[in-house]
Amino acid sequence: MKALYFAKIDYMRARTQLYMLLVITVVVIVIMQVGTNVTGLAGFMYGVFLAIIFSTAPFGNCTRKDAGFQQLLPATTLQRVLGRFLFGLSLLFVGTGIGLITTTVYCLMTGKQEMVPLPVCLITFAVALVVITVQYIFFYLVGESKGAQFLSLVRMIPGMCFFFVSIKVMGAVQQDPATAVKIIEKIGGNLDSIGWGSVALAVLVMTAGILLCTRATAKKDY
Amino acid sequence: MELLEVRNLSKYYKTFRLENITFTLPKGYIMGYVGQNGAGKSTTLNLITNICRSSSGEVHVNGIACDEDESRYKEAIGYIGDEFYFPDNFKIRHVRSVLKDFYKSFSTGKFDELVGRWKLDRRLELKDFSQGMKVKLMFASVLARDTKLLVLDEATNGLDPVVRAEILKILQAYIADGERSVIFSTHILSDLEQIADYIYFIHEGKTVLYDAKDELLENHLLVKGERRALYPELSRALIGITDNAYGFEAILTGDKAGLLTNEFHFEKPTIDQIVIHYIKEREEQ
Repeated sequence: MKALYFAKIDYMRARTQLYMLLVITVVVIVIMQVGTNVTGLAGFMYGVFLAIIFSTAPFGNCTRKDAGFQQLLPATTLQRVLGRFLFGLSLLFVGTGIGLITTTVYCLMTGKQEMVPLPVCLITFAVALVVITVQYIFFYLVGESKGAQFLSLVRMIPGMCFFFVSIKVMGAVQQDPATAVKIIEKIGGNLDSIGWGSVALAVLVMTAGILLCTRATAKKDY
Repeated sequence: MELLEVRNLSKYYKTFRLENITFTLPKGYIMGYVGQNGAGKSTTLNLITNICRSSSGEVHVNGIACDEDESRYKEAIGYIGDEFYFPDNFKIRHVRSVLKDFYKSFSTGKFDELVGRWKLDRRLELKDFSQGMKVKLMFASVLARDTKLLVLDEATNGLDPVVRAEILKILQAYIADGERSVIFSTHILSDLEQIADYIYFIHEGKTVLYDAKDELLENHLLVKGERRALYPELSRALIGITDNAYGFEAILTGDKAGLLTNEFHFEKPTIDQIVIHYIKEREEQ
C-alpha cells in the first residue's frame, strides 16, 4: 500500500507536467489531421513516447532535499523504489491509452482503417517498459538528484530514440510491405503470443530493475 | 528510561570523519547539539533520522533500531531541518495528504488547527512561503502526529526573535508530558541556554563536551585577569586563553579553581563562552 502512496507523491509532484501531457495530446491529434503522410500508428507511438519522457518527471523534480523528504517517511527502501516504478508503469498505461485514443480519433475523423494491431500494441508497450526500467536504473545508480541539464538529456534521449526508430520501422514497412508480410509469415502468424511474451519479459526486466535499484539505494545517503 | 541511545556512531567521508559519537537522552529532556559549521552536527542528526547511513555504530529511538523496523523507527521521529524539505510545487493540501497516507498517528484536525493558527496560506505553492512559514509548516507536520523524538537541525536559523521564542515554547510544551524528547542543533546558543537540559559539543567530528547543562555551567568558570599574572600551572589549566583590551579571558574547570589567586576575577560563564573557549583551545592544538 505504501508503494502506491509513493506513486501518488510522484503524481502530485509531476502534476504540472502531466497536465502538459493532455495539452500535447490535443496538439498531436490536430497535427495528424493536417499531415499528409502520417499513419494512425504514429499517434499511438507518440502517446507511448510521451509516457517514456514523462515517466522520468519525478527524477527531474528530485533535488537532494526533497529526495531526503521521501527518506523521512516511514517506509522501506523497497516500498520507495516500487512506488517509483509503479508511477512509471501506470504512466505507461496512461500513455498507451492516450496513444490508442489518438489513433481512434484520427481514424474516426479521416475515415481511415488504421487501428493498432494487438501484437504491435503489446510489443511497443514491452519495449517502452524496458526503456523506462533502464532509465530508472540509471537514475537510481548514477543520477538521482544530479544537475537539471544532465537529467534532461537522460530523460529525452531514450524516448526520442524509441520514437524515431519506431517511425523508421513504420516507414520501412510502408515502403516494402511484401518483406514485412514475409517476416510475419516466417514468425508463423503467432504474433499475439510474441506480443504477450514480450510483455512478460519486460515485466521480468522491470522486477529485476526494482530489486537492483532497491539494493543500490539501501545504503545511499541523502 | 532512555529515549535516544547513540553508541559509537561514526561516518567516514573522503574529507571528513565523524568519530565515535556516544550519548543517551532520557525521556522528557532537551539536548543541545552544538559545534561550528562543518563540525558534524548535521551529519549526526542525519544518521539519527537515517537520511544518511552510518559507517559504524548504533542508534536506538525508543528502544528500536532503524534496521529492526524502519517504519516504526521513523514514525517515532519528527525532523525539522534548516532546509525546507517538502517539494516546492506542493500546496498545504498535498503535504496533508502525504502525511495522512504515511503516518498512522497523523491527526488532520490538529494539522488544520495549527495551519489555521499560524495563518499558513493554503492557496500558495510552498515555494512562495516565507522562511518563517516554511518552518511553521514543518512544525505543523510533526506536531500533528504522535512522535517521540524531535530532531531539529538548525531549524530556528534565519527566524525573527518572535517566531524563535514561539518555537522554544513549543519545544517546552512538547516534552512536558515526560514521554518525549528533543535533540536540537543551533548556532544560537542563547536559545539552548533557555531550554536545553543536556549539551553535547563536537568539534571536527569528535566529542569535546557532553554533560547536563547545569553541571556544565557549574563546573566551569570564566576567568579574567592580566597576562603578567599568569603562571605556568594556571596557564596549562586554562582553556582557550584569549587576549583582549583588559588582559585575557579563559575558561577553567571547577576542579582547578584552587589555582586562582586574588589577582584574577572569575564568574559563571554562558554556554556560548564555554563553547568559544573550547573551540579556541582545540584550534590551537
